[in-house]
Amino acid sequence: MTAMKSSFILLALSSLCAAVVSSQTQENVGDVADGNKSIPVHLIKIYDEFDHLIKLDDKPLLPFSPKQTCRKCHEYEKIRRGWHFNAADSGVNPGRQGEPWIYVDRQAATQIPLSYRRWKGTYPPAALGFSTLKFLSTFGRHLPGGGVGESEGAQDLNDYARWQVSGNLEINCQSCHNNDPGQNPAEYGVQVLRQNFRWAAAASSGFATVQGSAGEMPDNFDLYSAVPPEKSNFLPPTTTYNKSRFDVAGKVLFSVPRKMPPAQCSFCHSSKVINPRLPDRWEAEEDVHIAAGMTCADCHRNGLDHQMIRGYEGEAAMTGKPAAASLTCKGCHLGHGEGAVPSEGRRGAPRPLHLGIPPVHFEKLACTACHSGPWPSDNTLRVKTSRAHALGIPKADKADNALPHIMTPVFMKQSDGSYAPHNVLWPAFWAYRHQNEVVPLPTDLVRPLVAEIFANDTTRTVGRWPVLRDTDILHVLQRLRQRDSTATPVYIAAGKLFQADRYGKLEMIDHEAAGPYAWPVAHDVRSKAQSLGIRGCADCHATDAPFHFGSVLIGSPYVVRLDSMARMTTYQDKSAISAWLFSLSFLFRPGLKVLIIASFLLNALVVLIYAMRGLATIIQKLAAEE
Amino acid sequence: MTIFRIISALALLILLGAITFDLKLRLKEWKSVRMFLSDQMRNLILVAKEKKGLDTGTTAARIRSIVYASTLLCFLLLAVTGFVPILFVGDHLTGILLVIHVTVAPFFALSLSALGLLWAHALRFDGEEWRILHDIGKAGIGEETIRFASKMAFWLTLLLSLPLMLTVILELFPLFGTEGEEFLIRLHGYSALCLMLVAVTHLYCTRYPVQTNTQNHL
Repeated sequence: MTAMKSSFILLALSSLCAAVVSSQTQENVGDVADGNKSIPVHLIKIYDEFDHLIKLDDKPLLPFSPKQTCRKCHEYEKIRRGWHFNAADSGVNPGRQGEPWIYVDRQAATQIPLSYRRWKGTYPPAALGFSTLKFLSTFGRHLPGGGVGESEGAQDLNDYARWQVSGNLEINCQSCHNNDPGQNPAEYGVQVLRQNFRWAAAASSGFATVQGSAGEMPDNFDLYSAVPPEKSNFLPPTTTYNKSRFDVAGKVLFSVPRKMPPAQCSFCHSSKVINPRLPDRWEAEEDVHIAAGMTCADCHRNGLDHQMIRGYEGEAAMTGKPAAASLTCKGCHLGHGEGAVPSEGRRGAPRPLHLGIPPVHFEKLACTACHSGPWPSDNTLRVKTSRAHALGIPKADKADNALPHIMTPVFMKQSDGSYAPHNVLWPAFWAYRHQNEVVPLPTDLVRPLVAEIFANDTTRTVGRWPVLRDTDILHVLQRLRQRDSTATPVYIAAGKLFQADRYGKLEMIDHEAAGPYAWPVAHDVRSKAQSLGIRGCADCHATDAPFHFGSVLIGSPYVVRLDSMARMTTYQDKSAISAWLFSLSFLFRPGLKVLIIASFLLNALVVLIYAMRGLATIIQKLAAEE
Repeated sequence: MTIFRIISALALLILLGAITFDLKLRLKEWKSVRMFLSDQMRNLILVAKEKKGLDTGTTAARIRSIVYASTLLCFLLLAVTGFVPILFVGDHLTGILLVIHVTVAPFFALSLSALGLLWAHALRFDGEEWRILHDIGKAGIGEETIRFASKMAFWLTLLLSLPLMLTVILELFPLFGTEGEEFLIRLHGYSALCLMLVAVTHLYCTRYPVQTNTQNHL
């Protein structure tokens, strides 16, 4: 009996162990590489968001869901925690300052950096009254889905009905992993702006067409029962597949290379520097790495967890991923530490010689200071980015001075103490001030008040900003005071905080919230011959070198400080005088070099002559002693 | 940087400690040491105020004094700007201190060359030094030994100035990569440290409190 009992316990334990081992080793078929370096063919069946197989004779035809389709072979739950999707996850280290989402409302004289990540200087979208739905409807055009797009916890209860109509904005795997020439990120952007969240991936895939707009459908719109829209000229969202793309088994061929070409990343990660010296696109250069045939993913690597390597110094320590240190500029070109295996020279990265450059430069400067961004000129340049200016989206403002106004390159200190070129944005927004805390106001609240000013005088428009005078700002501030007398209404613009003083006049003060939001830029990397310092010290150490003495344009709607300038040293930890004095010393350096060389030769001669004479004396003395 | 900082601090402490110890040994009482130091300071101020040293003697002697004084001044400025950030902050030479350092350095080099030309013959080693070298340690430290030490310090200063200047010259041209530049800077630092120790020893020798005769060769 005891033996039977023991056998039973043993069997139970074995089964348990087997179950545990089985559950631990169970991985999706697409996530386990067998070492074959060829590219797997993705001829697959497609599924809708309810995990139903899509057949061409379905009525109605639903858009395929990348989540349900791809998860058959890939672990979606792991992927969805990746860098592109985890912005709102409070447990994720936000890392180095990055590009925020910039909300622009010209009619409210507002441009404000928003981010779910907790980067200092940005505001969470909710602070500006943005529900998740509104955030996605505004910025989802350049989001690959996932994150707040499919998190029910992040959905505002007031938007419940709208979410039922739009569906979730699941991760659109094809945003990055579809090399089909028909893959259309612009179409994806348009669909998201129409709140066609569940349709966006299919519409951009190149084998489906989506018509209609979920944003125009009533709250009680139903996918299956097709409740007619309130207005007859509004089309409900419908999906039509290109039948020729389906084989006899109902499978569709997706082109999924291991590494996507740079153009795939560029849709969301492009920037256009408005450089008057190089007005046409053909005159500009591309990143030296791309020109050499590399792809973005060669450096910005990731595993199944989709935790992209961002590639900045200090990322390894910040994120706890030691491998990240090997994929920075230094990691590839200089190696990192003394390992058992040489770590430098990945992908043929040449080791820089930096002949004659004092090593202090490598402590005080990031690699990007000399090698990245546009060559600095007397004035900073405007830069337009995909995400800030909706580049690539049809009907986006193509004007060079379109809002938001972002300046580049501004040489500022990073958190690690090194200087690097930054993109810089000066926030402009209306807010209530409680003690020292500044709480932005939703633009819906402010727009009507600002509109009163513009309604009276529509001619006052310079560039793309509306122009606000002292009286205009005071007028809006007074109106805001009437709404809430417990807090101080303020306006942030031009790097200053404006508020009404006790006499009712406008006062302008410095405040942390009014400071620029800056994020380091790493691309485009210039070649060695195009790098700062190639022509000598004067590239940065001349008394008028842009590195210290360039003018940084502070764009703002405030008329008194309209497009005012600040010297680059304002954003560096040195005074303009000390930088100028230091630069001045370089004027005399050629002469001083000659002086030192002459002195050295003279000293060497004196020492040599008397050394010879001393040697002769020693020889004589030794001979005499003998 | 940390190792150089420690070595510099230790070397300076040892040298200053040795000088203090020697002064105490020679002058017996701390009170006398204090008086000696205050006398030296007073003399220095007097020389500076009344230009006593510069107004006397021949033109050559006057030039020698000027050169010596300017070299000393440049040396002090370079030592302060070069070592203060390293010893007290543990950081590189930057900002206004760097401006002063790089501006003064060529004048120091020039002064040192002039010093070499003007004093080399007077401070050359001859048969007398050979005898002192033979008798060293036999009859304590006398005036002759001090003079010998002073000469040694002078020549060592000139000798050490060569790597000091050469490292700077080489740094200023695009000849060496990062590792080479780092090596040159280290060499510059250690040369400067040695030169400073030798120069301080030289200065001490010129003011050495020999009981019989405190007059120095200046």
